[in-house]
Amino acid sequence: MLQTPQALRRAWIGLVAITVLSLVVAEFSAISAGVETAVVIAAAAIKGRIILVRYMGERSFPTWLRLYFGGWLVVCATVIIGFHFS
Amino acid sequence: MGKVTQLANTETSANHRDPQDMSLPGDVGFWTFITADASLFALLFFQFSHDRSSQPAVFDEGQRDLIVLLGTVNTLVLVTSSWLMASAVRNMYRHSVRMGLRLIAGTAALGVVFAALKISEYVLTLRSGHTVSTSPFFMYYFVITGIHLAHLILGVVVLIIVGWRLRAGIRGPLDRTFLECGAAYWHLVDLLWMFIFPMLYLAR
Repeated sequence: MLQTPQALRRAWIGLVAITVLSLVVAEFSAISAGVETAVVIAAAAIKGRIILVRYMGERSFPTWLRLYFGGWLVVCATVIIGFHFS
Repeated sequence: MGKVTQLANTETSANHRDPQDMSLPGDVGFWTFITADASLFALLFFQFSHDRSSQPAVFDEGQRDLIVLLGTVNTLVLVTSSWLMASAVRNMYRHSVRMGLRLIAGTAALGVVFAALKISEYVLTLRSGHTVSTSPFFMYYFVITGIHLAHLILGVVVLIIVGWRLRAGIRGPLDRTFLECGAAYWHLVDLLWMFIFPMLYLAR
């Protein structure tokens, strides 16, 4: 399903905001490295979800493809965060 | 005569397809390729994270020498290009062909900006003495971002082909497939970078 121009613009604003927030957390915050990693990778997964839903039309995907990309986001984020804490 | 009428009806139906009724963009074969490609990157993320966990100090030292600002700017360039591409698809389906083509051109132009910034970053990194063989971190840095850059350059070529093919608008189902596959591929390039950027530049 095509998104409205407003929805596309909101998605872009969200992506820009999360990118800038990730940078601030990584470069200027005083939190521990592990928490910082968890935050920026979780933010990446959220951005991935926005791209899938708003730009790639994930809601019109067949079940197998929705499951694949849903799993892909979770696996990528879990692997990167998990190894950082191991 | 019957066949001609049938063909004309098919083309008319394709041109006036209700965008609200869109099913899977592109075709199944293309999505199989996309999932295989995304899986390859997932394996690269796994291998990078696994190796990083065995020598975190080496990876942290390498990461400190990356130019985070360039990575951030490139992230903003890519998410903006994805916005333009999604808007291009909408415009093409709404018969605003001229605006759609401009947006596709804008997407490709931002792709060129990303590539130029990435190549500049490579030059600066190499000049500061880091090569593929400097450390495991830089091996992964050059390999992962290099494969991604190759995807992006291919994406720019695909967008040029899509723009050229659709210069008169969407004239049939094949044009639709070209547009949807080109857009989905571009969004995949963006999606992959969403993990590459924080994994290489930010996560410590």
